[in-house]
Amino acid sequence: MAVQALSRARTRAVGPSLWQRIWEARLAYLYILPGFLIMAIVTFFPLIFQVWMSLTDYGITNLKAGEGLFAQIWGSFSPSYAAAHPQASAPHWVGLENFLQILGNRLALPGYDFWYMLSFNLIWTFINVFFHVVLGVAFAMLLNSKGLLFKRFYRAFYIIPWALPALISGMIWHNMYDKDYGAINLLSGLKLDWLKETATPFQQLFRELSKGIGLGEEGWMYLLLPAVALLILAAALLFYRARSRRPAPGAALGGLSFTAIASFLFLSFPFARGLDGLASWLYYLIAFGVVGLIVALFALTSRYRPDAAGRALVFIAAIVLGIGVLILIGWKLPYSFYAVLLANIWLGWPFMMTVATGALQGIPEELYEAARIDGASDWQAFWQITVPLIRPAMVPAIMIGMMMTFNQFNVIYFVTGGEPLHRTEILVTQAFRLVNEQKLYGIAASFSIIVFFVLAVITVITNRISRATESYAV
Amino acid sequence: MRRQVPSIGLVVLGTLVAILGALLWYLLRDWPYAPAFAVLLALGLGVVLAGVFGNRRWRSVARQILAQLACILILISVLFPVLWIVGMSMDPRDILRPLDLSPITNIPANLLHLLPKSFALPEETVIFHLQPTTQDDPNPKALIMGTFHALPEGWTRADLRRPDVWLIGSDLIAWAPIAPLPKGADTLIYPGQVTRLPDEVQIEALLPLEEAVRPDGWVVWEGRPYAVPRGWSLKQVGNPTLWLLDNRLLHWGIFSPPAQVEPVTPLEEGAEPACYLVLKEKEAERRYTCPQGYRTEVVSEPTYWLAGNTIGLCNGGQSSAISKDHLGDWRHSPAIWLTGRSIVDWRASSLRSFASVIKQPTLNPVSFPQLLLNSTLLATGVALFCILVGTTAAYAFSRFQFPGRQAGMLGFVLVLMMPSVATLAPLYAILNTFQVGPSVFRVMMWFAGGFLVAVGAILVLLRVLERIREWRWRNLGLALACLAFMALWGVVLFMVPAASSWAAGLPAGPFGILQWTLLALAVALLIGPAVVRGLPGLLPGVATPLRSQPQVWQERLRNFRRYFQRPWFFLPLAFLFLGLMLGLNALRAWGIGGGEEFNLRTTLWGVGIAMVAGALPFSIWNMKGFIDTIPKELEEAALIDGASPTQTFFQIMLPLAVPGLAVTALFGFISGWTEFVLSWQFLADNMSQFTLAMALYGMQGERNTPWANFAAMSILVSIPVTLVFFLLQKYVVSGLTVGAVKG
Repeated sequence: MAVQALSRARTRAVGPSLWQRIWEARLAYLYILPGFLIMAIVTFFPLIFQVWMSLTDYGITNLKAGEGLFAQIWGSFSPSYAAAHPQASAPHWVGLENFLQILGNRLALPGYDFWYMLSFNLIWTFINVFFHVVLGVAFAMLLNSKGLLFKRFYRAFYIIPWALPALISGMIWHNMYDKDYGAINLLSGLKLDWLKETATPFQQLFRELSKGIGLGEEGWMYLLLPAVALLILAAALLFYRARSRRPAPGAALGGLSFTAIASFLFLSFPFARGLDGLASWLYYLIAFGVVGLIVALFALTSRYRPDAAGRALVFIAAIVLGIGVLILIGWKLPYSFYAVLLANIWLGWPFMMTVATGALQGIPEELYEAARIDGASDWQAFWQITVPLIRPAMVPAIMIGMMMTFNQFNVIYFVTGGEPLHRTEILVTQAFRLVNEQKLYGIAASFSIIVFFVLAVITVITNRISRATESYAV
Repeated sequence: MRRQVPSIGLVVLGTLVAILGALLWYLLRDWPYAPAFAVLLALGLGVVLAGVFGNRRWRSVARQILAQLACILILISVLFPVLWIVGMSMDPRDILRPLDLSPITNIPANLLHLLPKSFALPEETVIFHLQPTTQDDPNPKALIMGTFHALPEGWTRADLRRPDVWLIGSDLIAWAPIAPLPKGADTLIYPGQVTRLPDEVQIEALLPLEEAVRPDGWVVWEGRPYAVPRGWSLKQVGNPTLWLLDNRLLHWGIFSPPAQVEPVTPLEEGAEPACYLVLKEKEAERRYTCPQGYRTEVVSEPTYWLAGNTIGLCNGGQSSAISKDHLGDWRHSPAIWLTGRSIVDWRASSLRSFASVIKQPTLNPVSFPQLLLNSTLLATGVALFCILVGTTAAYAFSRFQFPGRQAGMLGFVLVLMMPSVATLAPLYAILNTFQVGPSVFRVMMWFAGGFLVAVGAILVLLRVLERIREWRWRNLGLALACLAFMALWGVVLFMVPAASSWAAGLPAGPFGILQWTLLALAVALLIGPAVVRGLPGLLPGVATPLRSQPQVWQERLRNFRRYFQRPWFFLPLAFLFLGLMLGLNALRAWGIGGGEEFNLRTTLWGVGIAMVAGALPFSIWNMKGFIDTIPKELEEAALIDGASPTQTFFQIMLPLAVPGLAVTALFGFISGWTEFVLSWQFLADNMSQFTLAMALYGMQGERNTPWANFAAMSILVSIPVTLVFFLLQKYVVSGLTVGAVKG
């Protein structure tokens, strides 16, 4: 150790200086120069310009920059310069006002709610990627099974959703969800306006349910009482299990707080006029909090190997909790969410299938044979052999899929267009609307910077995850 | 044989299949071929039997059957939207005819039918014609799109609470108040939505007609008669006109003269003839007798049914003829029509919508060849430019170690992460400031063209001198192949647009044709040799460029040297032609369309620049990933042999990287072809620069999309990229993973 450190120090002391190294690599810089120059002008300069724009009230009147961009920039800093050069039509410096307006939901736009949009975008991403991965791996395994006829044919044709331009697929699906002439309604016999219906299926379901029981339109709130009881029971089961198997203070605390939140949330409904009464961001904060708590609970308790009865208990509790969370998250999601979800699942699974096929073909058949001889069931072979071996290929693909879905402009914009009432808007489509429809360029710039930071956080997290899974690589 | 325990999985899945088969059979029992679903039922039952009684062999057969069924089901669901759109494109009923601007003759006054296209305005909307004013005007005024406009008589700021529509020139501007106000304006109006109308559009209010009153001019809208405005006769209604009906703007269009008018009478209660008509009147549907001689299968031409005073249009979606035992809701479904289920005989299917799209894609005057040209120019231009500029940078990032490499790569990752929407606002603002007068633009074009011509000429001269010394017959075949490709390309790019534009009655003009020819030649010369030589290497199965054994690469290098070195002859010629094209473009601006101010933002050049902002980092990253897979040994050998690094790059690296460059260029082409965000934002007010994707989006109207046309157009637009994608399939995954993850 010491010797290595010493030699490293010596080489550093003896090695060429920074300037020498730069001079030696001058050819590399020459090679980079053309690309760098172009990128400096068309990529990096706009990025910097965007930061300045985001701090001003740049609007449609500032587009007529008679004296160029730099006069505008200078004019925004110096009111006297701006007064002396009206031709420059410099915007006003507003500091962080744009950011505050965006994050504080103070933009006077129809249906604008930043935190709802952010939560929707995350829900959209997770649900989509979940289905993409599950379907992609399942169908890849199906195609990989021995003795299947026309394998190559299927493999070639399953790529079609991916090969079609997303823009056109989006428009086709928009067309298929048309109320009167769309394929979905024609084939299913429904008369549903998939893209414009404002009621959400969960709300309708509950209303119909309570009407059917005879409680009236709003009577579904009474149904919450048994639901609350069930949820509390489920939480108590988990809590009990965490306590009784081995004392785990974290799990106990999680279980307790979950129970508290769930009971607060569900018991407060009749007072808050149902879930609709909650502010969207608070609502989704709670929803995410519940999901996080459940995940934490399971993570904390997963170390223990319960007996059959314990497993059954956990199973029931998990199902009850799962349904509760599903209702919680689905409460505010309109029909158009399911419509666009189906479209994007159709669009996205072939990519995962292709990646999974590549990984599956690399698994030697002997592993499965050995497992079979050892008496492993197919299910065990899947979890013990297939999953660990395709994980190195799937993790990067999932990362890419997450980023692509998070920014899936084409599907959202062309299928639903944010309908109904901007409830299915995601960040990038809203950014586009700010520029294209509202023409609020300063605010759009701030919005893009916020989007950038959201993406940066996601990238950092996904990078951490993929680093963590590097050890799986064989 | 040992009896086994029943397999639960097989039993459950088999039951599901059997239920599916039975269900389909029951639901489609009227369909003559419905008993075919008995096969599904039988297969499901067979699987169940195998699961209960079968031995290992039978069970494996059952599993095979299940897998095959699952694959077919997946295939159907994957193909369904595609089949839907293909069927829709060949549906003969739903074709929106292009707007005929010639004066109408011999249409009976009472048969004019409104195009079912309307813009719904909010309740209580008021339309005002606004006049521009100055800032000094003491009266209440509004700042709209940078210009002051006087508010209507008697209006103050306080009145601007409810949504209003203002008419300025021919822009319909929806009003939405947004703080803060600039100095000097009473209110600031941000155009929430600007609908640009054609110049000659007029807005006139329609008044509903009393029963039995039928003046000379009246029109039908949703089954109700309306009087045309005072002072209008039907002859005048030749231009696109908007009609104001309550608070809805109706778009008026002309159908070609109806083929036939058939009077029909209401059916009696309880009558169940084999053939009858259903005419839709608002929400209610009424049944009428079928006219003499009509069967439901033959109604494919536009036919008007005269029921009392109401006129129904048979193929416009307003009313429709259906037969007795038909599932009424399915009548518009091309998928059903494809299966022979619809009222439309499949033999009536036609490619008319393709023809009509190529003739006139949208109601806008821009032609299909123009759209095609714009899209091609944008996609190929951006892709080739990125290759040209980015190759050396990719090489440097792949092979050199230098200070700042890590930081540079981090910068790439950051830029690649950003969606193109995220830099839309600054690019728009920046490019919008590049507005020059026509003369400056012309001079710039001339300079650029002249420069290219000069470079091309010099290179051609040098090459000719060199070639005379070392001409070989072997090259002739290759040259001929290149020429053949050029000719093909020329046909695609020149003949088709020219022919169809002539067919559309819009001669392209000598300059346009010359320009297209030159462009076609230039692109052919640039791409032709690369395609002719490179394609065999790109085709899957022929060669595997991603394999990294040094022997394979050396072999490829030898091949390249042998076949690929000679006819770079064509490149300078391409420069020559491109330069001539630019010059001609300038000349054309001078002569024909001259006098307009040049705004970089509203041209393909501006969009191209904005697209390069995102495409260049992606290309560099992608090419770096490709170059990383090429073994270093060859370059090292060359360096040892005394070649300079630049020689190594041009003579060893570049030939080996040709497949990678081609793949990257094709990726660039795909993304450029389907680019929507930037072009829609930049080009929306310059119709002549529309791209195919923009036109397609424009076809999705508010209420009634011309569906067959839309379907035909989307097929036409997606064919090239889909084909390219299929060719490149195996590179897509590696490109994605290389480009996005190995940071």
